[in-house]
Amino acid sequence: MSGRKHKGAENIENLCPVARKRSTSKNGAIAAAATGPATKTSSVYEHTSSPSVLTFEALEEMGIGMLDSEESSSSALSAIALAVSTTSDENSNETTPYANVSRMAHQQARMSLNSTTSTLDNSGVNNTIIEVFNEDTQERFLQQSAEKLHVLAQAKRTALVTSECSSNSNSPSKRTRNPLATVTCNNQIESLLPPVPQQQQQQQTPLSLMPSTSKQAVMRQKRPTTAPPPPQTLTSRLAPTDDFFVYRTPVMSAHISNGINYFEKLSDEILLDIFKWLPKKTLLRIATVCRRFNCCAHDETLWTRLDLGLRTLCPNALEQVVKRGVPVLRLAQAEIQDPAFTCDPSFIDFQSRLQYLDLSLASISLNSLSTLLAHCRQLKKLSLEHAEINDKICFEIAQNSSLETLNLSMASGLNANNVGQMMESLTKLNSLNISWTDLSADAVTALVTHIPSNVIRLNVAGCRRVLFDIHVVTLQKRCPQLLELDLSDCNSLTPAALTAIMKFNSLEYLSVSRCYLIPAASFIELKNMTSLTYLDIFGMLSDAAMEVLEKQMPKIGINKFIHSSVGRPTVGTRRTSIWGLRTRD
Amino acid sequence: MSHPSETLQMRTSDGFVFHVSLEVAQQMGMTHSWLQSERVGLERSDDDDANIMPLDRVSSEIFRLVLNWCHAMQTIEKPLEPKDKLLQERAIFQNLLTESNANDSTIFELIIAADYLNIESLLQAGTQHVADVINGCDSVEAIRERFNIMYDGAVDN
Repeated sequence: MSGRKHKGAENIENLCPVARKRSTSKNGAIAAAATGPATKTSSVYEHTSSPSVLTFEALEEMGIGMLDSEESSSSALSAIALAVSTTSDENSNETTPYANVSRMAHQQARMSLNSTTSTLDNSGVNNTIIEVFNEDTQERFLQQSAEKLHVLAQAKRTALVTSECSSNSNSPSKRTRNPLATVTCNNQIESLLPPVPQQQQQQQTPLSLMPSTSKQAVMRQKRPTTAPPPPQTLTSRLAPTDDFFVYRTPVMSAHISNGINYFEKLSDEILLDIFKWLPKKTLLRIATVCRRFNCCAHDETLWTRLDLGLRTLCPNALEQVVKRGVPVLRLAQAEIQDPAFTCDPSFIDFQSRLQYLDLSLASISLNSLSTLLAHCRQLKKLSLEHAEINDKICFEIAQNSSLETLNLSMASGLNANNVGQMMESLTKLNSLNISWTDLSADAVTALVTHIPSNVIRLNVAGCRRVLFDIHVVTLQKRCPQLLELDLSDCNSLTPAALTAIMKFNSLEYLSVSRCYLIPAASFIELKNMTSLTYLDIFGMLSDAAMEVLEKQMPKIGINKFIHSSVGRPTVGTRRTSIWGLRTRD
Repeated sequence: MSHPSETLQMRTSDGFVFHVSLEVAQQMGMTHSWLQSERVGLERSDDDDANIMPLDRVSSEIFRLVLNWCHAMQTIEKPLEPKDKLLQERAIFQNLLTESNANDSTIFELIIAADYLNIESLLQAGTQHVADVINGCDSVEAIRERFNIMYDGAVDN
C-alpha cells in the first residue's frame, strides 16, 4: 500500500515539476502528490481549450463561448464541469467521457508546466472534490484517514499507477494514448464514495457546495440504485460505471457567482410577486426547485384560472388540475383521457374549489365526469354543452346549490327524473340552456313544473312535438320574471302560447323561430309587450311580410340574433374568457 | 438656515444623506407615510435629525439606482397605454441595469429596496426581470444553477 503510494508519488513527481520540487519524504511525497494532483485537478478544470465534444456542445448550448487560451476562466471551467455532468446525465456511457479523462490527464501534465497555481491556494485544494479514480483505491480509501489530501493523492496516484501499469511509461503523451488508462479510470468512479463523507469535515466553505449538492441530489433521484452516502454536502456518488462525472469544486462555483442564494433575502410576498409573472408551465417547473418555491408556487393567488382548452389530458392529469384548487377552469374541447381520477368515485377525499367550469364539447367519459362533479360542490356556472350525462352526473350537479348558470345544450342522457331532480335542487339557478337535448314530453313537464322561480333566462329550443302551449302556461306561472325566452323549433306551439307569453311582464327577448303553427298575423299582438326589445322569428315570414311587421313594431329588433347565448360561456370568437371571466393570464 | 421645501433629506443605511426633490420622493410610498407621521415642518434647519427620513434598509449604492429610476420615471411622457407603459418601464429598467453593471446582488437588492420604499413601478420591473430570467432557464437544474438554490427534496405532485 505504502509502496504503491510511493510509486505513485514518484510518477507524479516525474510529471509535475511543482510536485517534484516539494517532495522528499514519503509523507512529503504524499503531500506533494496531493498538492500535485489537486493542483493538476484544479488546473485541469481551468484548462478549457480542449474539452470533449460533449462539453463543447453543451457549452454552446449554454451560450458560453469557448476559450482558446490556456488562461483559465474558471467560470468556463465550471461550466464545462457543469456541462459534463449534466450532459453525462443525458448521454450515458459514451466514449467522450473517457476521452475527457484522458485529455484531462494529459492536460494535467501540460498544465502543470504552465499553470500558475496562484489562482488556487491550498485551501482550494482542501475543497476539491472528485474526479475519476481507480478502483483499486477503493478499498484503500475505506481504511484511510479523513485527510482529503491523502485521499486525493491516493486516487490520483493510483489512477496514474493504473495507466502506468498498462503502459509502463510516465510520459503524459503516452498516458494519453493509452486506452486502458481511460477505461480503467472510468470504471472506477465508485471508488470515492466511502471516503468522501470523511472529507466533508474539512470543508471550509460550505456555502459553495450547494450547487453541487443540488445537482447531485437530482442525479441521485434519477438513479435510485446508487447508494447515497449519509447526509453530506460534498458531492460524490456511485455513478454507474458507464458515466463520467466531474464535480464542481466550490472554488469553481465561487467563480460562477458568490454561491449566494439571493432568493433567501426575499420575503415570500416578493417571491409571489415574481412568480405571478410566470406562465403556468414555468410555475410547475419551479415548484420542484426547492421546498420554498414549492410552497410559493402552490399559492392559490397564482392559480386563479386555468385554460386547458383544446388540450389532451393524460389519465389522472385532471385530478392534479382539480387539486390545484383553481376556481376558474376552461376545458372546452379538451380531451380527457380515462381514468381522470385515481380515487374511487364513492370516496371523495377532497372538495375542489371549482366555481366556473367549462366543459363545452369536451371529450370525457361518464365515469370521469361523474367523479369530477362529485368533487364539486361550489360550482356557480357550469357548461356541459354536447356532453354525455347520466342520472349520477345530474345528481352531482344538483348538489351544487349555488349554481347560477347551467348549460346543457345538446347534452344527451336527460330524462324526466334527472331533469326534475336538478330543477328541484338548483334553487338559485338564473340561466338555463337545455336546448336540443331530446327531451321527452314528460321531461318537459318535469322541467316546467319544477323550474326554480329565479330563472330569468331560459332556452328550451328544439323541443319538437314535445313542448305544448300548456307548458308555456305553466312556465309563465313558475317564472313570471323571465327576461329571455327561447322557444325556437318548438313546433307544436300555437297562437295560444303567445297569449301566455304576453303575460311575461319583463320579457325582453323572445324567439319563436320556426314554430310553424303560429301564423304571421299573431305576432303583431306582441307589440303590446312593453318590455320586449328583441324578437326572433326566423323562417316564419317572407321578406315582404317581414318588412310590414318591422314597420308595425318599430321599437322591437327583429331577427337580430341567430344564436342564443343563454348560459353559454363563450359567445362569438372570444376564447379567452368564460362567462366574462378571464382564463388566460 | 431653512431648507427649501421642495427637497427631502433621506439617509441611507450607511449614513449617506441624500437631498431628494419632493417630487421624486413622492414616488416612494414610504415617503407618504413618513411625511404624515413625522411632519415636523420642513422649514427647520437641516441640522435637525428628525427631518431626515431614515432609510435603514437601503444602502447608498442601491439608493442611487433607485433615484435614477425615479428620475427616469418622471421623464416618461404620460399618458400611455398600460401595455406600452409596461414595455417602457422594462426598457428603463434594463438600461439601469446595464449602466450600473448590475449583478444578481444588485438586482435583488433593488427589488428589496423597491418593496421597502414602496415603489410599485420599480418592484414590478424588477420582479418581471427576475421572472424573465427564470423563464429563460431551460430546466429545473438550470434554475438552481443560475440562482444557487439548494435542492432540499421538493417534489411536485
